[in-house]
Amino acid sequence: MAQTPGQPIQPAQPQRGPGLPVPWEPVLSAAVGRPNSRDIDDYISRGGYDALKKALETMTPQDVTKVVADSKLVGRGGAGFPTGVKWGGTARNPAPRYLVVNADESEPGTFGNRYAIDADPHMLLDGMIICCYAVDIQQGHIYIRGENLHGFEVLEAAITQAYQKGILGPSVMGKEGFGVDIYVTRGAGAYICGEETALMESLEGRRAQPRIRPPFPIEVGGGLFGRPTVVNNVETLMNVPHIVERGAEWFAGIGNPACPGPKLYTISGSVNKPGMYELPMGVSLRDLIYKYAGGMQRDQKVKAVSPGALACQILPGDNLDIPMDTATLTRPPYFIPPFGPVGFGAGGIVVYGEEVDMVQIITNIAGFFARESCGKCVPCREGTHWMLDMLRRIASGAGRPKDLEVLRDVATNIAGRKTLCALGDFAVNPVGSGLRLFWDEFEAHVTKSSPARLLEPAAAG
Amino acid sequence: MIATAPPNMVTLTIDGAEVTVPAGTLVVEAAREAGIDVPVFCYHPKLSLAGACRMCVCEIGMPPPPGQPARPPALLTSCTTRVTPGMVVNTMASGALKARESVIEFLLINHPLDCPVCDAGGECPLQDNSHAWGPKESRFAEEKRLARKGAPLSPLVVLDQERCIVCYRCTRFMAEIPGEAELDFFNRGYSSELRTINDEAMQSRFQGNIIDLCPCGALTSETYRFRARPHDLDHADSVCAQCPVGCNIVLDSRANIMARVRPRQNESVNEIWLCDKGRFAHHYVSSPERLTQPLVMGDDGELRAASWPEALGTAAVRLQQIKEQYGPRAIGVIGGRNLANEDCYALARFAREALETPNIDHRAGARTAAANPLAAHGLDAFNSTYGAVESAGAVVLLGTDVYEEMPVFWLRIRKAVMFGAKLIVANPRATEADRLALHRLRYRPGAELSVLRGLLAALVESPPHEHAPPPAEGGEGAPPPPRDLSGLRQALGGVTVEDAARESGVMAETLRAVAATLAGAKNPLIYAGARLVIRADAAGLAAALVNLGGALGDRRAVNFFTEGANGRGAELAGLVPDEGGLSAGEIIAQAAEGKIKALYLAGENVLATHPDAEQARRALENAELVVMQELFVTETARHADIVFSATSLPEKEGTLTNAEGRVQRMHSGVRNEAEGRPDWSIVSELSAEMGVPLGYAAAVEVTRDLLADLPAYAPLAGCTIPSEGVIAREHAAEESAEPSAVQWAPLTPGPSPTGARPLTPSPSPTRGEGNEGAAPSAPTPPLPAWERGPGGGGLILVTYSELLGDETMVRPTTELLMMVPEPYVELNRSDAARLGLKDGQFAEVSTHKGGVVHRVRVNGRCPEGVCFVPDNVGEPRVNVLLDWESPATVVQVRPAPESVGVAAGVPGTAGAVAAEGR
Repeated sequence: MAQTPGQPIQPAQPQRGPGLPVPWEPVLSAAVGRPNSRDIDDYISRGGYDALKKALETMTPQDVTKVVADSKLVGRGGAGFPTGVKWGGTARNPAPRYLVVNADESEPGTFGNRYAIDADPHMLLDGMIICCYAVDIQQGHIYIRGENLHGFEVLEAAITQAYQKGILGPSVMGKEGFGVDIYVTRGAGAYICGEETALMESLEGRRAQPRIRPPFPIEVGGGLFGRPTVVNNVETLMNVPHIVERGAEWFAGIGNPACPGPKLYTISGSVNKPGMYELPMGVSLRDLIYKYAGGMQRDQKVKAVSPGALACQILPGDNLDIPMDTATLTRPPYFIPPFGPVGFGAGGIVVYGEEVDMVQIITNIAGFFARESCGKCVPCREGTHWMLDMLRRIASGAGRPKDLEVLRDVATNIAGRKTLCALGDFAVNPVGSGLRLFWDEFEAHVTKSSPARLLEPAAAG
Repeated sequence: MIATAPPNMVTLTIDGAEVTVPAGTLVVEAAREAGIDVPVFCYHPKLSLAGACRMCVCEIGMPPPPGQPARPPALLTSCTTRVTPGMVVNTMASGALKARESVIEFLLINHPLDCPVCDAGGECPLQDNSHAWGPKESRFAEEKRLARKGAPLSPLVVLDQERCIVCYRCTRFMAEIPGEAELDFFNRGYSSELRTINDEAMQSRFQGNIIDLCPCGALTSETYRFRARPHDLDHADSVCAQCPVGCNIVLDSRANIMARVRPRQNESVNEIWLCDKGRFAHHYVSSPERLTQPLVMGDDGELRAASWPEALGTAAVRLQQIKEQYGPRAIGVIGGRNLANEDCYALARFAREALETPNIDHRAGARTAAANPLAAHGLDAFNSTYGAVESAGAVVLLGTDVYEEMPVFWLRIRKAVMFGAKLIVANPRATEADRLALHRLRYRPGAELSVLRGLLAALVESPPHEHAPPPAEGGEGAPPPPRDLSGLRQALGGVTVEDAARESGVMAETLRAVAATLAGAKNPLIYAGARLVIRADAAGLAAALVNLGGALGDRRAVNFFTEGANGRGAELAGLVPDEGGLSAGEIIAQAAEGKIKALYLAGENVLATHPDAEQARRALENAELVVMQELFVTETARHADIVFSATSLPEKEGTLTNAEGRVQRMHSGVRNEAEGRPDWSIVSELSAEMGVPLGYAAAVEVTRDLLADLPAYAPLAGCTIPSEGVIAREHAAEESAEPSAVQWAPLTPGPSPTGARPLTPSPSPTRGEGNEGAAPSAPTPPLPAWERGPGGGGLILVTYSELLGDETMVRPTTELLMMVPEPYVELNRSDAARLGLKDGQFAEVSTHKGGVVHRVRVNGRCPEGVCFVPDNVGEPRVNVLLDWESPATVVQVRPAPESVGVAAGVPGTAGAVAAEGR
């Protein structure tokens, strides 16, 4: 591990959760691989919509919010905001209110929602309707990534079935005065739409660009069509029926007590068995890679890891005992100024083996963020592209030694909440952390020993 | 340590100094209050917040919640952060300076840095902020972004995308201020580029403002680019001469040639906006077509150049002759609405003292003698201010297309509507304002009085206090006291809502709904179009309007618009018929019959503006003497015996009075280098030649006299006119606090109070609406073509002016001429189908007087049975169809052979696709 300028990560004593309940039964992905699992009858036969029924018949909306709050469920989209607090806050603001489900999962390396919707769309609807009951909402919107046409069709079919069964419509399960309608809207291919305010702009029919906060989405003026709005991730809502059904204590006892519950980990990169694994929050990186993902390809050593897809800071491969969860990866020592938290995102773990050229990887990642910057605010619009230009030059062997300092300074100028939304920080997380961790590799690219330089001597300038 | 602030005030610390500002103030504004300028690009106080440029970041610390440790201050954008008590702002924190420096660096890496050839150079926020806050040297070693350069967004505005810093000021302006979102950014991120929707040329009448708003040189003016540098320009504060709004402007000239016009901030009038006519139509001032010296008709019947002494002498002798031979009543004086107050005042004195004629008028096509029909009720023609509309709960627009008539005032009405005012638009044809209207009253052309009667009857049926919202709601103000409307009931004389509905063509339910809306609104304001003032039934309309105002709580709610840059000023200066005198329309009518022997026309092209072109031509031919003061040899001037070369308003010192009655100073932007003289000077010298010297040698002398002499300006005598102007009022109308003391104007049905020509239409071809007067003051008005229905053949013609016509003052600005619509006749779909006409074809529109061939526009703006032709576009003008003597103009519309249409010419190319230029 190269000693590099910047702040090295102190090896942490990880806060291990209670570990796997034995035997561990998947909760969210129980239906994966089951024939006909998308069918409403199959869902009901597995006890589906029982939680909704329980909520409607035996609980007040406040009870539901309380049990969700007590369960300590936090948002699975990456920000890790306590769901119960969000619901309670929205319910305090005047009606009409809306529910928006963020299914615009579009970060490379993250694909949990896609599997979950494909396998069990009714679990999402179940959670949505319970949320609507808890917050007194009559209209829910699912904003699904445009490329996920299949998921859109699955949801449409599920919604149609739910209407036929009277689970959606003017009176949910016959409950007087409680009606819910759910609409699905497809995005048009923009990563920015995963940002909740840009998502709502897009849903309202405008150019997808983040809004100024405050007002926050839960407030009047900040949400969908200017109304208080709950914006939740797909996976967050899928947890809700199980919490209502089995109770807050059951949920709070799973995994890391600071952010408990089951988690759909998606792992990809240089592992033998990339895919989605449902495990309790806080499972260690080592277990994920070696116990579940089948170890490293060609038995490489782990060189680095993007713990929550590409928007997070890159972690070095020398400490595999880190618990992979929101709470751990957003607090010191995994809060690294000026870039802030390492981040866990939506739990899409990308593993890089030692065969990988990190400069190429980081250039590739920077290309994604430069292309996906919405362009509303200056540092992200101009800075991401500048970084990309420099990285491409460095990767192609035309870099100059002073480029690295400029690159690091440009990244610093974008980082640290200087942009309108979090995407500016996302874009510099991999670059800033990559420079810190792999300075030697970068330096090699800008000096004579660069393999790229040897191949293309003309490019050296 | 927070000083106790009054309620709703917040005290915070900015750069060590305590500042107290209203709650809700943005930090950037609070800093300005404290005299600290935080640099901005995307922030603009008139636009919504964007938070896009990140230039205004400051280090902002919040006081910790009680019992908790203080959190470190954060870098926040001061343009999106609102003040909170105890907030500590450090605008010069090192983190903030670093962030600003990086923003400038980011903005400049892809900026072409072509300041030496950029129009904005020298007045560019990007340039200024780069010098003040930017890095010293460039670290950028990559390829700069290439993008569109010199790309026209319209004939008026040119885009250089490479210079653009994507601050969204232009797109926000277009979407928020005029509500015409014709621009947006296309593509994403680094590739963001400004384009018009579908790449069509922008059509907005307000697009020039985006040039002012642009904080760099991305948006430039087609008429100004590459013509001057800011430091080369001379500046003069003036007032726009293109419409009655009276927008404040700066005239920028280079080497005594007008370079450009910029808006000047006056929050009471135009805020910071200007319409495109006001901004771009200034080339006429320096046009080579301008009249450079006086002309006198030679024996060969051709105008020839003459010296001033010759022209003045000839005019004086011949006017004197006519006065002596036929008496002073054989002379008619028309003009003044486009002249300065000084000119109007001198002209009025000249007419009364030297010519001694009572036939004086500034209102082309006017049929009534009363220039202000509200004077009979002790009111001014305009009784509120522009600003008052912002606190109105409801706004009524009657017989006006305010978007075309007073565009910048429309922006303020629109703002009021955006903040919740209810808009009621009553017009025979759909207008731009309809888009925002809560109620649209589509009445029969000329049936304004019936509409008003219907509203009054509805209010009598169900008095206003019944509609008032319960006082608890909102909690402000007491409910209006119940008003005794029995007097009004009497004045109405038994007219019911249903009667009015039958007469006007507006449904009774609609009339009742509008009455309820008005009754429930706080401070409703009523604006009536300028064309209604000059109609035969103006007095009846005024009485009905005053009653409506009275029934709603305040008779001062009534306001009439005016025409011309200084229509109100001309009225106050006395360019109105004296007792027994003739109105402008009557002067022409009598001249056509040979009863008026001499016409004195001051800047009035009667052939284009009198609502009967044939009659106007006869008038000019039959008059023994026609004397004119003009800027150009207009078609009317070709018939004149003597034409004095006058100076234009941008060349003049003096004052103008806008539609609301605000007197404003204007300063000369360019000198007249030819032999043009100001109009006041011409009449002053002519007066002297005729032996009645007015004795004026300088404009200020006239200003001094008119302020002292005219009752409306009396309070201003001897004062300096402040930069925001002063409202002049003739009538100090105090509204009685006692509701029962409302005076109800009698609404006697019958012939119009002038007694002259009761049922005649007044289709004057200047601005305004509904000039076909279908005998509205008669109890049962005849229902012409409308009721005859399909197959009756004729359509009622409605006409008024577009903001942009191919007028003398617009024509020299070729870029603006491109925005002028091709002459058109607008038809309803069903009429078009019946007549066998399709959109885009040519149609011949004719009456017994004459015909025009125009392209057909088929849409839903005109109701069935009505067609519309703009009256300031195309040759010949639509007034060739009009007949001064006959009632509502009914026209025949039939397909024209294609060849005729082509021959008719196409002056406008609006709608042309913005070509990519490089």
